[in-house]
Amino acid sequence: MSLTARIVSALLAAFVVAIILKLQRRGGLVSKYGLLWMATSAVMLVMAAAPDVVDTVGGWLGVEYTPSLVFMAALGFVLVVLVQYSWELSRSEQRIQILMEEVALLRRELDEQRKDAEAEG
Amino acid sequence: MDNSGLIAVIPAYNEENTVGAVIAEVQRTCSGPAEVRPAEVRPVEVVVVDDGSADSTAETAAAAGATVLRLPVNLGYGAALRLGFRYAAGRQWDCALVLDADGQHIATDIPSLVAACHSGADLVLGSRFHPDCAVAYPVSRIRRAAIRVVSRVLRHRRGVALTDPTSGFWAMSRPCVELFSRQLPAGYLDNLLGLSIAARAGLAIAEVPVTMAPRQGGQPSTQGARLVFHYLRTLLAISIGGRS
Repeated sequence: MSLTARIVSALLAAFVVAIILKLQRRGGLVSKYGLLWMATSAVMLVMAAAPDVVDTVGGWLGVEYTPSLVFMAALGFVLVVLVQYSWELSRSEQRIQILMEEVALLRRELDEQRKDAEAEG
Repeated sequence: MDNSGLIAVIPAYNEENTVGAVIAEVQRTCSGPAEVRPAEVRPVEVVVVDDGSADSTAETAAAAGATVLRLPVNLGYGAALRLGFRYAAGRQWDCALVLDADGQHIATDIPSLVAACHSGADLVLGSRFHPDCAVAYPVSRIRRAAIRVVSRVLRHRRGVALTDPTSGFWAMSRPCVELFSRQLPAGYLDNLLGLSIAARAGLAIAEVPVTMAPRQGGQPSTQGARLVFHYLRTLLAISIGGRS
């Protein structure tokens, strides 16, 4: 890998770390996702700093064209993360719905009690 | 059979033009003096579930004498229905009804639904396509095809043969409403899933012929490509189970 490529990928990884840190500090990110993306950018940093790591790991696994290993791993990772997000989103939607139902039922009960109180008072 | 009456659940989303008339119609059919009203029906509590309407649906319904449950945001028909069932499960009645707020379902059909419910069915559907219907109800081609597919799936997977499984005009026994309030998943999108759950639980399901009026106001809840997507989701939910 050329020096330029290494610098670019290191900058990219650093950029991701910076964004994640900023989001985290602003409170816009739950810490579990913060950790996930920081770990991801750490891996990116390592690969930028020492691209030989990819070749070494590829050699262990018997992969001939090692860059494809990076793509496969990245794709697999993104897929797992997306499925996890779909699951989490479904769960949130359900929780919101149950919450709404409770709000509607409580509001009804409150109205009823107000009416009763008015009738008595 | 006790005399504790009926409960009618009406999910409504932006139906200010029709909801008042629908409530009045139901009350007129059910709550008249005992001498004039059909023997099957009893005084009724009308429950309007306002599904986050932007118009005055809730105010209109309350003014017409209905119990109003207001969802703060629009969650969809199934969610509104689920809330209605949860509310109904905690009330006193001997037969529960579900009907549309757009005037499509005609209150004069209520006695025959209630009669079928009292004679042992847990879930009674008002069918537009029943062989005993006087006139065929016009529906779009996509909807017709979807209804046919759904009927077939229900017959094969759940062993219930229905002519109009997508009907939203229901009468239910207490075990049925209690089952729904317990088992309908949040995210429940259609009465078909409820039907499927009732069939799986072994409840008695029946159909009676009804006349449906062309809708008096509002838009069909789903049309075109969305309708297809909606039915695919429903099919997935009723054939595999789990959440909708």
